Amino acid sequence: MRKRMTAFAGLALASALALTGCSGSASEAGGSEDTFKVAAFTAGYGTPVGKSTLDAFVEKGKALGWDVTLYTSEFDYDKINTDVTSAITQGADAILAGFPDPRQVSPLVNAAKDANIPIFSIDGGVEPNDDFVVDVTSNQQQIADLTVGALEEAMGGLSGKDVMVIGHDPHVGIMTRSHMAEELLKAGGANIAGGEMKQVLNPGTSQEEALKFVTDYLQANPEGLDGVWVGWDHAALGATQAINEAGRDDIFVTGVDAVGIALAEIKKEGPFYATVVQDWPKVLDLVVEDMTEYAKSGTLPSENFVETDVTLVDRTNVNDIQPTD
Amino acid sequence: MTKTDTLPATTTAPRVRERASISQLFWQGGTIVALIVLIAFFTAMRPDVFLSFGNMRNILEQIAILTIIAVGQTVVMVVGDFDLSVGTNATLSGATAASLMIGGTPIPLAIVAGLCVGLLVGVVNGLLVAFLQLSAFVATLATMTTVGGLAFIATSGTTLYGMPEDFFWIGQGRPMGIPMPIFFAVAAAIILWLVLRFTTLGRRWYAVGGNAEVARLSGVNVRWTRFLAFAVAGLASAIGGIILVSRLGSASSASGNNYMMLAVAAVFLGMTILKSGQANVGGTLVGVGIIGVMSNGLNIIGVNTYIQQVLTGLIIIAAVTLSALKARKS
Repeated sequence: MRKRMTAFAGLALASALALTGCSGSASEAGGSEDTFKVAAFTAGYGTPVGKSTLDAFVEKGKALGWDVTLYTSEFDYDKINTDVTSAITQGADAILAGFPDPRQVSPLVNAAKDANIPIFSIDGGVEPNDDFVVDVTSNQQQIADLTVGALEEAMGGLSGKDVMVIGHDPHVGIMTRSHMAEELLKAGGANIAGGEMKQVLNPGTSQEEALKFVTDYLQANPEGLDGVWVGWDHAALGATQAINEAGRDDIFVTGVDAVGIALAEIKKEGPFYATVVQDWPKVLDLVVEDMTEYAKSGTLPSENFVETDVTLVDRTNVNDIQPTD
Repeated sequence: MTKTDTLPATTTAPRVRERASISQLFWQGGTIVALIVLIAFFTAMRPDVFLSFGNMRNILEQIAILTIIAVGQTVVMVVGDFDLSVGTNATLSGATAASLMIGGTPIPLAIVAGLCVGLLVGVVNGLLVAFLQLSAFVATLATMTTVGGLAFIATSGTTLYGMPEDFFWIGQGRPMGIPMPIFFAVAAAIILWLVLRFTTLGRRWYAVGGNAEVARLSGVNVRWTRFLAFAVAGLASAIGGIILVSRLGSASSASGNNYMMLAVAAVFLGMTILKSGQANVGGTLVGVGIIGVMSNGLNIIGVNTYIQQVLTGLIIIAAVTLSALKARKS
């Protein structure tokens, strides 16, 4: 009984300390009545680009004197919808949506509409969406064109080549560029290895999943693979590892994102042939610019969908590129 | 008429026994039969590929890390609990070791630190479940969430890479052409099998899992016994997580998380093998084998991953149903 009481007392003390800590940080974050309050969110905080971009947004917002609260989850939109809806009821002036899946944010979009609060978005889809006053994103068609072009260069053409395409349809951006790439490959006369695009189930474990896809495929079809097009770098790394382990130097891989480990792999001049750097700092600057204008004058952006250019990273320029993570 | 009535009575007894033994064999051997049927099916589909040495080695390599984590989970399930934190624990332990190595810590020291992290998570689980008497579901769900968050902090949400080349021998080395993770998996399975089968501690684990109150009355320290089971699961998760980081050459914030579901599934599949329905290392290996053969075979014949997931779930449902029906029969 005494032990149990001690345990309860310990738990109570820990809870009290934790709550004290929470209330301290909340009051520090809170500003005066006039402070521009932003509720920022991302369900992709577990991805390198999602984290670095949203962290940079919080930093910029605070530098501008805004009261920024960041809500995150690991692809849990139920949590995001609940958190941001609460933030709206608590008096947010604007919402920053970081890499949102537009199909999964209806509750918070409706709450924002009811409260007449604008939502500014980073990479929130591939076409204009009235849910957002502006959505600044990368040009997905350009990503597909550049990476398929790089693969074509590496393989010496597309016609008759066997190319595995690895995607993840639950992610809007990856889904869009993966299907665009698949169409480009087919149009160029390439065969899609395995007959259809391979779908990674969980981006968090995509390196291992892609490693298994390519290892198993090469086991069954040693002569049936010339290239692997992958929608993001982590999965591309798994594909590269499978090709290296199979002792092959005639199969090439492309990825997207230009994360540090992918750039390191391209520098080795092995199977990982190219990736694409999306200009997230520029995307962020454009969104912050629009939000600043809104904070000052209440003016909303003139166009609600902006696409930015991307850059191909291959052996020729990899040393000049900064990793995105 | 009487004669014809009595004659069958004498001959039906052995037949009933025969039917009973066939049915019993079916209930007990169903999971092994399922594994054999799967192997036969994929061999028939791709006779030139599936049973080749290269592919067998490939399957064993793919299931090696799962085996290590699953045998740790087996111990917890032997005592009648389960550990939902094994996946995030593997991620955190691997990320800790990777982070330290990148920071210049010598490889052995970084590995020991990673193992300590995993063990510590297991110890916390053990304290919560065995000593604070929390439900294993709630306690390990909470640690799963906390440890998952710590993994994000340890990796800063990015991918850690640039560990020393020597470290990759653990996950990518191939002495005699056999991938190193297979050796680790075999060692982990043998050690835990021996402990469960031939040691007092193993007997105590089974006793607590069978009936904790009876075990207590028999003089077993139930709390310590359960505590140790969670500590072992934590350590096994850490070993799996560190090998995974070495295998992939990188550590991310969620790289080992999937192993929790697969480990629980493998142990459940294995529980159908024993008449008692208890978790056991041999059964777990069969369960891991089913998961590995399914994944590899379906990839080889080109089945969509979404369908693969459905089929894996269905197999687990079938095995658990089989187990439940068997329990009802006995």
